[in-house]
Order: sequence, then C-alpha cells, then structure tokens
Amino acid sequence: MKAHNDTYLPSGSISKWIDERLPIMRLMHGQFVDFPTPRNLNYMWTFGGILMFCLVTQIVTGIVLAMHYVPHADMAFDSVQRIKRDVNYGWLIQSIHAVGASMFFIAVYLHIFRGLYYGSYKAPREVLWILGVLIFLAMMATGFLGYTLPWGQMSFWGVTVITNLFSSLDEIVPGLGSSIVTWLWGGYSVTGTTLNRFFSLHFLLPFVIFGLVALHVWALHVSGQNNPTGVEMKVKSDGVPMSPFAVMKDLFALVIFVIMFAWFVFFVPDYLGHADNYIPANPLVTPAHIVPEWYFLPFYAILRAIPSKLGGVIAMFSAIIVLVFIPWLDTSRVRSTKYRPLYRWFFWLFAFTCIALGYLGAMPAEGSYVFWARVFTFY
Amino acid sequence: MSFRVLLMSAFAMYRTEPVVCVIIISYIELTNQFLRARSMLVLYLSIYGNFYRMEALLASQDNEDLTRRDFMTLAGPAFFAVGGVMALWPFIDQMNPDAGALALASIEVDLAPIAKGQAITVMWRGKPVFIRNRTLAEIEEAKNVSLEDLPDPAPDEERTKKGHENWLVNVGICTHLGCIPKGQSLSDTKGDYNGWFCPCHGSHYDTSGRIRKGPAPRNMDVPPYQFISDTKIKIG
Repeated sequence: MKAHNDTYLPSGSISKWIDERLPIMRLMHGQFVDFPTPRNLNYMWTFGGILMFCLVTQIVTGIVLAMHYVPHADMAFDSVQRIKRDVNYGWLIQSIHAVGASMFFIAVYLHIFRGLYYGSYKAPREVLWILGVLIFLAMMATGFLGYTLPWGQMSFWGVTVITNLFSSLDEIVPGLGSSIVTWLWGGYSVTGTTLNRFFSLHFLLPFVIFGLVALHVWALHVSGQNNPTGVEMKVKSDGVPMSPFAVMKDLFALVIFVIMFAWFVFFVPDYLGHADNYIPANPLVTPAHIVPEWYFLPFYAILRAIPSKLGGVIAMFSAIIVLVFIPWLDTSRVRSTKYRPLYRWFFWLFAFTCIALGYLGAMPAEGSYVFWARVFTFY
Repeated sequence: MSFRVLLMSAFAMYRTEPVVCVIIISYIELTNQFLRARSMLVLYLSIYGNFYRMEALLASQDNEDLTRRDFMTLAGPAFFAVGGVMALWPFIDQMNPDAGALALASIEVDLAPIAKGQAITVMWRGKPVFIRNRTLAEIEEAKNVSLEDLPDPAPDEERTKKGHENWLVNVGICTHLGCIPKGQSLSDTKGDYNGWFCPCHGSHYDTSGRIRKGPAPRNMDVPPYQFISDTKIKIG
C-alpha cells in the first residue's frame, strides 16, 4: 500500500478497543478516506464506483428474486410472471435486476474503454488490468446464465446456441465437443436439468465477481490510480484525499447514472430485452430471429461472420482473450492517448467498429482487421 | 401521461411555489394508479427542489450562525437517508404475502353432507379449519359450563352464529405452539371434555373449542365467516 498520512483517530472507547484488536476501521479509513487520488481525474474515473453500485444492486435484487423464482422447466416462466404481477414490488425489483444487467455492461464497457484510452493497463497495472478482464469474463458468464432463467423462447434458444458453441470442438477431436455439450446440458437437449444448474451457477458467480473486485481494488490501491495525463503522481500536492473529493465526485456521477437507470426501469423496462422472451420456451420451435442481449452483440457478430464453425468460435473467444495480452502487445512507453495522435485514430476506429459490429451484426473482416491493425500500431 | 409531464413538473417545482408541487403531485397520483413509483419519484424531486428554495431563503436572511454550507451538509445526507429508507421498503415488503396468496384468502364450504356429530376439516389460508355439526348433547354441554371454570372465558353464543348453533367453525390450530389437535375423526381421542385433544403438549378443548386444561393460553380461534345460505358458509 502506498504510504500516506494516517489521519484515523478513533473517537470513542469502543472504537479504540476494536482498533487495538482488529484495525479494520483504520484500514478502511486509510484506503477510502485518506487514499490519495490524482487531482486531475475526469468523469471517466467515476465508473469504478458506479460498477460497485451495480454489483451490489444486482446481488441484492437477485437474492430477493431467488426467494420467489422457481428453477423448474414447467414453472420458471410462470414464476417470473408471478414475480412481476403478484409479488409486492416484484415488478420493481425484477425490472431493476433485468435493466441492471444492461446498466452494468454499459458501465463496464465505458470503464474498459477508459482503461484502453488512458493506458491504464500499462506497467505497473498489468495485474489490475488482467483481474479486470477476469471480472468481465465472469460478468459475461453471469449475464448469459441469468438470461436463461426467465425460460422464454430467447432464453431457451440462446442457451441452445451458446452451449452448442462447444460442439465445434468436434472438429479437433471428434466426439469431444458433443460430450462437453451433453455434460453441460445434463441430457441430450436443453432441459429443466440445465435450467436448474444454471440457476445455481448464476447465484454463485456474482460472489466470485465480488471476490475478484476485492482483488481488483486491492491491486488498484497498491499501484495508485492512473490519471488522464498518464504521468504518475510525484509529489503529495498532485493528489487529494479520496474523501470527500473523489467520493463526492463519484456520488454526483452515480446520481446522474441512477437517473438514467431509473428512466429505463420505470418507463421502458423491456426496451433492452426481446419480445420473444415473453413466449414460454418451446423446444420444438426456434424464433425466426434469434439474437443475444445487446451487450453480447459485437461478439456474436464476429461469431456469425466467420464462415467456419470452429473459426468463428475461436475468433469470438480470442476477441476477449486478447485483452489479457494488451499490456504486452502495446509496447509504447507513453500511457495516455492524449499524447499518442496516431493511436488515437485507431482507438476511435476500434470503438466505432465495436459499435458497428453490435449494430450491423455482420462485419467480421472489419472487426478483426481494425483490431489487429490497432495492435500492430503499437510496435 | 409521459416523461414530458414528469420533466415539466420537476421544472415547475424548481421555479414555483411548493403549493404548485403539491397540486402536480396529486394530479400525477390520481392519474397514475398503476405506476405508483412515478409519483414517488416526483415527490422525491419536489423534496430536492425545496431544499434549494430553503437554502436560498436562508442565504437571503444573512444568518451568520447558519451558513449555506451548514445547510447543505445537513440537507445532503438527510436527502440520501430519506431516499435510502424509501428504497429499502420494496425489499422488505416483497416478503409479505403476495397477490396470489391474498387471492386465496376466502373460501366457500358446502355444509349439506355433514351429518350430526360429524366433523370435516377444510383448508383456509393454508390452515386447517374444523367444521363440526354438533349434537344437541354437545351444544348443551358447551352452554352449561360456568364461565368461571374457563381459562379463557367466552360463552358458547359468541363462538357460533345465532340460528346455526349446531355449527362450530374453528381454526384447528392449538393456541399453544401450533399443532393440530386430535378429535376430528370418530376414532380420535377427544380429550377430557369431549372436544379436541392436542397430542403435542396435552391441551384439552371442549365442544365449543374452548381451552379447558393444559398449557394452551386461549380458545381455538373462530375465523371470520358468514352463512350465505342455510347449508353454505363463506370463510374469510
């Protein structure tokens, strides 16, 4: 942990007694009150706090939903409807949870792009960055598993398609992929057995994410925060104590974020979902137009665009995994894109490509091209 | 009703008298019964708007003891605390019985098939309800007990409906710790008072469902019910 002045003064005799035995309040005070934050942070640095809020919201609403939800093939769909119609404030809590998933991903994408823009992945923050990628992976898994639970048409066929990705491994070792898929399903097709285990895992993973987030914050507090110039803080006056300065700024950004969140929850709760998911799952009919949740669209587009089953799957996963290696692919010694005019072009081109991939859904060459072009520019 | 109205009302609160806020809130309250949250949000905004108004008021009075900063450091956390408590309520209320449970809250029972001396058990709100067609001897027995002999004094007339004295309707749950007393079927032991006997801790109930002996503190409860015809009752 970075050395900074400890201003913690236990006031009462009880807090003194605790402080001598378990200095947890001193630790929290040191890490979240005195902690020096760069004084030039912009609003892109508020998404860490917002993401923490999202995670806690999802866990709290999720635990409530688990009290009412029934993970059974015949009852899951109805139980979600019952939550929406009968359970007191169920409409609100279900809507917060469903919209919250999207809000979580909006915030995490902005957070990731912030990191890419300002070079927050560069030494000494590689481990911090890799932990972030792991959190992102766990979030995607959780989001996918959670989307299964309403057991509508999109849920059912989404699971079928995504789990079938593993069957592409048959092209390497015949039978391997199919065996994995059967193992995932617990049967020869997606059934209530699959639903039940997905519910269990969907409950587990947020707590795994929570643990990873704790490590992520720890790693952050070892290296200290990056800032828009990419130049490390050198003297004490380069920073301000986290509380109240950064905390208040984070809170203000959080209020703005929550207003947008609330607008979705109260006025267009289903806007980010798909109408077909209001049809109960039917193993005999596939919806005419099957799409994943919006936050998976760029990856889904890569998958669809490559004219090879295995190739598409590999391209899709490598688009995520490549993030892990970015600290070493980028050999530039300048952190912030502010001072990298050429890379700035490629950054925005990459951002545009991601959105285009999401929107159009089928522009693979462009996606890979820009992605790799960008990576090569670093040299 | 649209988002526009919400924005307009928030704006009005910011600029006009609090009275106007109240009018707008009530208007939204009335027109949006199905979306209560919307009016909550507006109420919330009005509180926030009024903070600014009060703050300006305080500043204009040039009060040296109370600065704008003092006010904001009090009002800010207060605002978050009130909001926090309001946000907490849905998470508490969700554990209360839902609309599905409330919908099962009343049932109708046909009494015609129950002969003299027989009893049936029906489910009401997940609990057993004992319905007993009492014999004349049993009714006499219940009526002739002196109230002083009862731990929980209640005359038999209070526990039955006038004109239908033969029908005893009780929630079949022992008032001690919630077991179901024996005495419904003919082969059951009926306890020392010819009514019911709770096997868990030995409470004896009489032919009016009143506690006579044992640890139970109260008589068995009489659920709210009415006769909708001579042979049909509605419980709940």
